[in-house]
Parts: sequence; structure tokens; C-alpha cells
Amino acid sequence: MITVIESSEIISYIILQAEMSLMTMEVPYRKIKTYAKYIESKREDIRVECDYISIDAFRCRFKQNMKFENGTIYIRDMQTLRPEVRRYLPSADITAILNSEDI
Amino acid sequence: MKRILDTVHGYIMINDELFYHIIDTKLFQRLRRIEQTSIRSVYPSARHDRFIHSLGVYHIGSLIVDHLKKEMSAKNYWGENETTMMVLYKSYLVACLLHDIAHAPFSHTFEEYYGTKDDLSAFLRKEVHNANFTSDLHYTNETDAPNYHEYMSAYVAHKEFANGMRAMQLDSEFVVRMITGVYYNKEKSTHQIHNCLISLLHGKIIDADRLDYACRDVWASGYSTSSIDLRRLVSAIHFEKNSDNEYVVCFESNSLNEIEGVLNVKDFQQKYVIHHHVIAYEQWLLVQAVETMAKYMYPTIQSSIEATRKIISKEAILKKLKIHKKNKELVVQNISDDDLVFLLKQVPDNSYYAQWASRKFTHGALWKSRDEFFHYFPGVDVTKDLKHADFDHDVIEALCADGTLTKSDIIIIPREFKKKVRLESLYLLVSNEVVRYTDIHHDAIDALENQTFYYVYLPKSNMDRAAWCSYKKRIIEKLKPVIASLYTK
Repeated sequence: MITVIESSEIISYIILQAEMSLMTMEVPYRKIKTYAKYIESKREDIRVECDYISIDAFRCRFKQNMKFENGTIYIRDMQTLRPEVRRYLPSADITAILNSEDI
Repeated sequence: MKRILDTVHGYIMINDELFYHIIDTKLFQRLRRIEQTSIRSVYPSARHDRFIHSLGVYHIGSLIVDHLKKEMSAKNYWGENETTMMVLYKSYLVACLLHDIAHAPFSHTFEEYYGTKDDLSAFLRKEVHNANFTSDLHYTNETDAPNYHEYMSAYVAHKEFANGMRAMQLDSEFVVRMITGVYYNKEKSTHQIHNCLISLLHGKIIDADRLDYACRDVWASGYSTSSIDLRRLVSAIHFEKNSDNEYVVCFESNSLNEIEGVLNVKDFQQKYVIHHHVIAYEQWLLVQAVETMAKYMYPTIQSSIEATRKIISKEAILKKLKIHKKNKELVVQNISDDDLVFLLKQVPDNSYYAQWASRKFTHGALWKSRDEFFHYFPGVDVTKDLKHADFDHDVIEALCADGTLTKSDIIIIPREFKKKVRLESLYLLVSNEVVRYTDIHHDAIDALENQTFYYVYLPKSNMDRAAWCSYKKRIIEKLKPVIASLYTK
């Protein structure tokens, strides 16, 4: 069965991988797309919805902490955001793929 | 000119050349055997198909064209000339007909098997073979990627209907752009009216496609929502210049109630119809049944997804699918719903198919809707998205803890309510001035978050209704601490 995941899962992963000391962060679309392509190349049963619409849907969940402009997500107040995005992480098997050093 | 009587729109008038080049072809007639929605398990009368939907979109497209024709000379053809406008209108109507030409069997259920969007985009790029299109397609893939069937429909339209479009002197690349929503970005200033027409088939708010299914799905299924005054809405459409001095599609502000009516139908469908627990379960069953069948047909292919992709493929749609099985050759041409069912019937002991075909479901949903879920778990914030990375793991662990259930007994199906309506792209004509909807309703821009919801299905094990209800109650009590820990931390 093919599972469709959203860019929200990749963005959450990137946020939670960032250094704990970071207060602000910029995530370019290119980086999210690279991760999406990597997942799709490793798992034929996964499709990743990864366009600006999908990213904007995620931004709307955290409108106080995120802006999405010119193909880059601008994140502030990372400390409050971190615990909030934890539940949007991908499943453990996809996280394991993203943890791989090839990416 | 021929007339086709449609129960939704009345008579649909279509030129003979469109019958000759498009409608009376194997690929277009195939749409008679592709169901429009997946909701028949709950709404049995929803037997409408992609064929009549495509004609309906054409009809609404022709209403829009007739309306625009009335004002084009007064508007000096919006900077184009009459001949160009006639080609654009005709191309628009052909795109209306062809917009779903390569829908997979059972509509959206199998479209992801066509391949990744990157792969489909590459096919299309190669087929159209034009530098500006390639660049604009790349931009669209990033900003608002087409659906899987849209890439495939555009590919099939360009590849298989090229001669017909040439004979009718149409711009086939423009048709591809309308099917996929690839706006002219590089040559934006010289293609403003082209872009207006793209948005009237592949818009983010109101377009001919959305208008037809909003009317047709409601009519065919029998559920009731507010009615849509199509003619009033169409007559409110204008091409006007916005503050950037670009022509955009705008609607007279007094048509807002009609626009909201269309958007409400979509919301209603998402909330109560498309994500109904029986529809979700039946779609899941069908996918499992087809993957099981594909593995049976192609035993040397390890992966069931790869095997299924042999059956749900552009080759199967365009040509013949030949499967050699036990000294027999099964041949399927221009695959449709019927062919998929035929292939399913060839497989002995496909328990998923047996369930799907008989509707004797082995599993039942613990809660039947979002409302029921929130009733059972009152601590959960009803406004919050329920997506949670640990949902499957924690629920399965809790349910299997006492050993009465195993992981394989539990089916968890996530459903996502997506708001794809981009209200910032809605332009209104207020006192002869073009304004964005979001300039008036500022909050609308931030109201687009997706809402994920999970159904959990457990074996009913021949329990009668009363026994099943009390079993469900016990299970839900067991899940209360798990759900609380997931959502009320």
C-alpha cells in the first residue's frame, strides 16, 4: 500500500535535528525537497507531498512561530516550537532513513 | 452539433468535430467505466462516472466562454485579437473535455501507483519538449504540484490527441497547461488571458471542474447541501486588471454567497462523505485486494507495489496489458474499473476481494466520525489537528497489552482533511475595483491547516450489534489513557 506523507513531517524532523541552542532557523524549500526525494528513492511505498501549498498548510498550524516567504521557512522561538512539532515527526522507519549519512 | 441530455445540466451541445477527434475515441469512452467518486459503498446511487463529469465540465466551460464572448469586444479582447481569443476558447473547451482523460481505475484510489510526481513530471516534460514549459512546470511542481492523474492526463492528451488538436488548429501545450495548472510564468506578461483561462479550469477557488463535481456529486449521491446557481455565478466572472496591472479572473462581489455555496459543498464532502469510515475501510480493502491480485499475476516480482504498478500504468491505459497465467493469456485493453474487477475475479482465495465484493466486513470502526471520537475522548481539543507520530504505536501497544489482540488484528487508517482552497487568489470586483478576498478577510490566509484524523478498525468476530457495542465500549475505556497522553500533554 502506498502511503502519502506531507512535508510537515520532514520540516518537523529538520527542526528537531537542529541544535538545541538555536532560537531562530531558516529552512529553504530546496532542503525539504532533497529529503523528500531521498525518502521516495529509498521507499517505493511512500509518496511525499512537498510543494509550497503543503508547506503553507504546516505554517498555518504555527502562525506565531513561522513565516514562509520566497521559498524559505523562517522560524522563531524554537524553544516553544520544538515540543509542539514532535507529534508531526515521520514514523520511526522513515526517521531512520533520514538519519542515514547518505543524504 | 449534437445534443446530449444530462440530468444535472440539461442539454449539453457539442460540435461534431469534438466528437470526431475526442469524444468518440477509445480513450475518452473508457471514462464511462471509471467511477467519479469512491463513495458508492455508502451512497449507492452515486453511479456517475468520469465520462459524464468531463462532458459536464465542458458544458460549464462553454457557459463561461459564451459569457466572456459577450463582453470581449467591449473590452477590446483584453489586449488579444478575436482570432486568438477563438483559439484560446476552443483550446479551453478541449482541455475541459480532456482534463481527466487518464484517471486511474476507481478514481483517486490508485493514482499514486502511476509513480512519483518527479517521474511523472519528467514524462510530461519530455513529451511537451519546450523550454518555457519545462521551466514553468518546474515552478509549478514547487509551488502547487498537480495531482498524479493530472500529470498523466496531460501526458495522454498531448500524446494521443495531438493529431486531433492539430486538425482543430489548437495549441496543445496550452491544453496541457490547463490540465495541470501550469501557468505561464516566464512569459507571464504576454499570456495574461491564457493564465485567466488556466485558472478557469484549474483554479484554486472556482473553476469549471469544481463547479461540475460540486453539482454532480450532490445530485448523484442524494445528500443535500445548499444549491448552486451556476448561471448567476458564471455571469459574475470577469477578466479585469488587478493592482499589478495584470488581467485576473474576478467575481462580482454580490456572487460571494454562490462562491461560499461551492466551497461549502467541498467542505461538506470532506467532512461527512469522502472520509466516512465505511468508505475509508472499503478503499483500504480494495487496495489490499488489488495488491494481492498483482502479486498473484506477477509472482516473480518481489514487491506488491511494483507488481501493482504494472497494472496501474500508462501502458495499461493507452495500450494492452497482457498477463500470462497458467497457460492462459489475460488481455486487458485501456484499463478501467471493470477490467480491474475482472482481474480480481481471476485470483482464488483473495480474502480482501471476498470482503470487498460481499461487503461482509471482518472489521468495524471503533468510532465512526470525528464527532464520535471527541465524544469518547472529551479531553481532546476539537479544534486541533490529531496528527501524531506515536498514534499507531501507542494504540497498538495498548490494544495488544492483554494478549487478546495482535498487531495484525488492528487496522489504523489515517485520513487527512485538506484545505486546498487558496482564498488569497480570489479576486472580487467591489465598486468597479479589483480587490483580493484576503484584503477584506485578513484571517482567511491563515486558515489552511490540514486536519488529520485516524480510524481504528478491530475484528468484529461475528459479534451481534449489542455485543460489538459493549466490546467497543470496553476497548475505548482501555484507550482513554493513551489518547489523553497523546493529546492532552
